[in-house]
Amino acid sequence: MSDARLEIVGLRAGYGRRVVLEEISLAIGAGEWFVLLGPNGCGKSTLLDCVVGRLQPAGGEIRIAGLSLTNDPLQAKQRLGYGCAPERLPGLLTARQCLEVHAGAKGLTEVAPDLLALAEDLRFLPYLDSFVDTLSLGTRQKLSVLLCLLGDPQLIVLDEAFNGLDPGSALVVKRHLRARLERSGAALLLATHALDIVEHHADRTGLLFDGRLRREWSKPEISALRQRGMGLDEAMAAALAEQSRA
Amino acid sequence: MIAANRWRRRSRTDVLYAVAAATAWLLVTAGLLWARASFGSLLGRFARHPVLLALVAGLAAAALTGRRRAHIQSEAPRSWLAAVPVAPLVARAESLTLTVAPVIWIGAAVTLLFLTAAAAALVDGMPTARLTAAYGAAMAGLGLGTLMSYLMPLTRPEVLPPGSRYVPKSGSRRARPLEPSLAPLGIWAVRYVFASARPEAVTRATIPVLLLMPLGTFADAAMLVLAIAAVSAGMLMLIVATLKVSASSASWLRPLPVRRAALARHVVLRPLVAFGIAGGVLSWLLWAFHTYAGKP
Repeated sequence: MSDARLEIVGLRAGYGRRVVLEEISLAIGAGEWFVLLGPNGCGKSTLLDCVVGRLQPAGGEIRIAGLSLTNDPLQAKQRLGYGCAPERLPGLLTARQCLEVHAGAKGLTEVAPDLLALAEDLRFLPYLDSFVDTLSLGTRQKLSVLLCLLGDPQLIVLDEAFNGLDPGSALVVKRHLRARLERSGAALLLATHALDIVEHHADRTGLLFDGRLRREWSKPEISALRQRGMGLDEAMAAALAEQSRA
Repeated sequence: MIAANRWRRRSRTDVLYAVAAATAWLLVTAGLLWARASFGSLLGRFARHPVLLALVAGLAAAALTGRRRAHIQSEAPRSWLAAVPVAPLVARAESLTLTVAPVIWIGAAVTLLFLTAAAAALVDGMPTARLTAAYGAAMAGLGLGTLMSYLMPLTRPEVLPPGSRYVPKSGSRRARPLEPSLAPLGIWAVRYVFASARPEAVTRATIPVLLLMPLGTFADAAMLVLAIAAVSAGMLMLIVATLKVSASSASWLRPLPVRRAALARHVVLRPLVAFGIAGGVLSWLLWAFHTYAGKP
């Protein structure tokens, strides 16, 4: 059995007749921070929706920590943590109730102390008994991250998780995620447009374009680009231009 | 050509809406013709009070136009079209059309109702003069009300607060540990009902009930009718809220390892208990009303 926390083989997905993803294959290993980049509308969120079981793929296989999402969805989802978009959180529940429901759904008996410590570091605890619809975007984003990390997931999936977070809180989250990956061997799949995260935190980066994973960069490759005085944005633009010509 | 192109561009959904509206009107017309004796007496009552009709129509038109004006004034500068250069005359005409649109729709509905009632009266060979006078009064009221609203100062635009403002909160401020459980899902639907029952919505829903009460109604009967209407509306809202919350929670919790049966049980259980209690209260109110109505 491989130690991959996420394995995607030949994934195809779309909405009705519109094909959004074609033949996506990807493996993310234990302790790896993988960033998914791509222009708007290229299918990043669709790929994440397939990985977390929100969208039924048209073909292919997704395995989370070795468990098939199609054949064994409950066990596979037990090992998954997903930070949903802040606007999807239920406005009429309190932050405490959201955490309790998520923990209840994962069959936990208590919330881990390290998560409560993270909530304290994010200065989130004063908002525990506030209704979600009264929270600011950044505070809802913090709640979304906390919900994602409940139950010590082996695969963490985040979609634009740093949007709306103040720089201090974003740094706390980044450090916590890195420490968690090193400690528990979890893997992180993050879809974002923030290139600073790629340059400073990612172990590997993939470029999604026209429904296919067109290019990957490893950490040494990104460092080499920087040494040549070339930014990742320029490398991305070059790769996209090359694909368009092809 | 323009008409043909317009028709070509029109989607099937629009055509379906038009067919549905025409069918609904035909059904209403058939119903009115079938029950024209009681409908006629009801219209007769209205027709005897043209001034009252004009007053109600005028107030409705003034309120609707005033609200629209306030809304347009607050939203127009933020519109995505605000930066587009438009001739002042065109902008004014557009603003006027948008402002009076609800009154035009009401006028169209009143006209349709008048035509239907006049047709029913003509079929029976009844005179239509009183009906025409009532129609004229209603339309004049709509027109005058619209004009009057332009003389009144603008109301403040309505800024809706978060729905949770109307949800009762527990008084306990004691810090307690997080207790994993799906039980809060049951509270969600009940809160949804409270969040929907904004004071403005409750007031607007109460006014028609009060207006429908015949003159000379005693206060205790009115209280009973209002309570019955409130509990019935609450029960209906609870059903709608439970359906909405069921869909929302299924979508929110789809990435989690929770069985659908467990989710449904937790979402439905508390609303079911609340529904049972409300049903009991409604039965008691109906019994009380029945007893009251049976008194000599």
